[in-house]
Amino acid sequence: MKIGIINYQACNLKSIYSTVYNLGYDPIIIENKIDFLNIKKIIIPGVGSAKHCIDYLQKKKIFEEVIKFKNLGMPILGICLGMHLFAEKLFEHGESRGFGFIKGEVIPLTMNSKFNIGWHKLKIKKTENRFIKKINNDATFYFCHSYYFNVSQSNFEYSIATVDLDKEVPSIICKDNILGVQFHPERSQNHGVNFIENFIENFQ
Amino acid sequence: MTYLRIIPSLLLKNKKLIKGVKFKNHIIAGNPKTTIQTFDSQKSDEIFLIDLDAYKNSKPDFEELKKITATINTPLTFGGGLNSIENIKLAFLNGADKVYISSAIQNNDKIVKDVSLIYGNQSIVGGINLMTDSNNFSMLNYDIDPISFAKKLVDLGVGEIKITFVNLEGSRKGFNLNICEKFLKNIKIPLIFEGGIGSLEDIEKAADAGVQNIALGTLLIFSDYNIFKIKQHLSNKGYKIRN
Repeated sequence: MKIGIINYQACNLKSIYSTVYNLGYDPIIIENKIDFLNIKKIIIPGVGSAKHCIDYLQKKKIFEEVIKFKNLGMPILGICLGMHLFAEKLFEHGESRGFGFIKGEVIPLTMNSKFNIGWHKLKIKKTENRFIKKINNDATFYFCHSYYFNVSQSNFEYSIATVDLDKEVPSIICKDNILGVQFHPERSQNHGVNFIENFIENFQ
Repeated sequence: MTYLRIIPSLLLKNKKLIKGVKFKNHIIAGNPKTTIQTFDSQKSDEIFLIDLDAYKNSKPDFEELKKITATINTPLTFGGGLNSIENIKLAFLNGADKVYISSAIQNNDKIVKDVSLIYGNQSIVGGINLMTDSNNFSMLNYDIDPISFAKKLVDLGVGEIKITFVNLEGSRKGFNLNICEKFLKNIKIPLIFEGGIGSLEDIEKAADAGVQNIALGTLLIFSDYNIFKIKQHLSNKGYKIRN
């Protein structure tokens, strides 16, 4: 199965690429509009600054293509910054406009330390979602971020798991064919690799 | 409160891992790829890899980095000779999840801003190399108060700081906990300490002093301990450890 990985010239592309490859799928790096051909699912990696990433996707016309892909009902996984892009507005290194798939804004963490770097268990809301049910409750995942997705009240139902920092911050956001995670599954060892395999096999 | 992070800290030289005492007397300590795969499967919380040759050669060994990172699923921070945005881009491109920058910041502090605009502040680990005796501490080859420099790193925008006790490295005497506490009191971003851990008791003492992130070299390379055993021990003692 061809899995597209969006390259915005910042992300830890290689980590995602080798995880998908080692699972036995066919990772395709997407750098232009034409690379979307025959792609079944898309992964938008993390590690990157929002403004730089969005400017780049706009310039390369990939931004609009991702929206089209979503509107066709094709599954998208956004990791860390990749998930933040689903928001309406982002404020990392200047204001920028996201895809607007889910209502809310991406703003800085306001905890004792402004960075959350390390491993956490997730707090998963009760759900009938077949995909989410496969996530082990005791699993730990690796986080590395200083911004978070502040989901609007009206879209709260789409934040289906949180992580307990000084306040509860969304760790999984899921709406229709869109899945976003604040943690880095590609760097979360066995549980993370299972998560990516679960996305590829079961998320529709 | 998050889990303690136990982080193997490894040095790369001429495609081999090496380990030394006080930044000198290097001994070959294994094959980088297979050793790091082992740490990955033992559930290291992260991995630090520093290319020592890069300081001389001006270009880090990205080929080796690429080989290593393709087979693991543990966050890896790469450092050594990352003194230009070009080299830093290549580090990320070849599989680094974060970059460790130390002397380059001393020479050109603008580099933090340049990297953060592209990769975000969370991707940068700043470095402080300390020379210590029981009461005094200073930075290695850099004349500035270490705490002031740490504060400067925070203001510049690094996501974490790794503080290395250079003259304790390989000594198995444990961290200088007074100094750890000074940093922890003054600096509110994640701090990683390294240099001197020689026993499980040293790790417990560091954790009791509030150290959250512990980098290990000698203890892993030249003893019977492995990550799994260390974590099991700490977990049995009631520390918050990810198994």
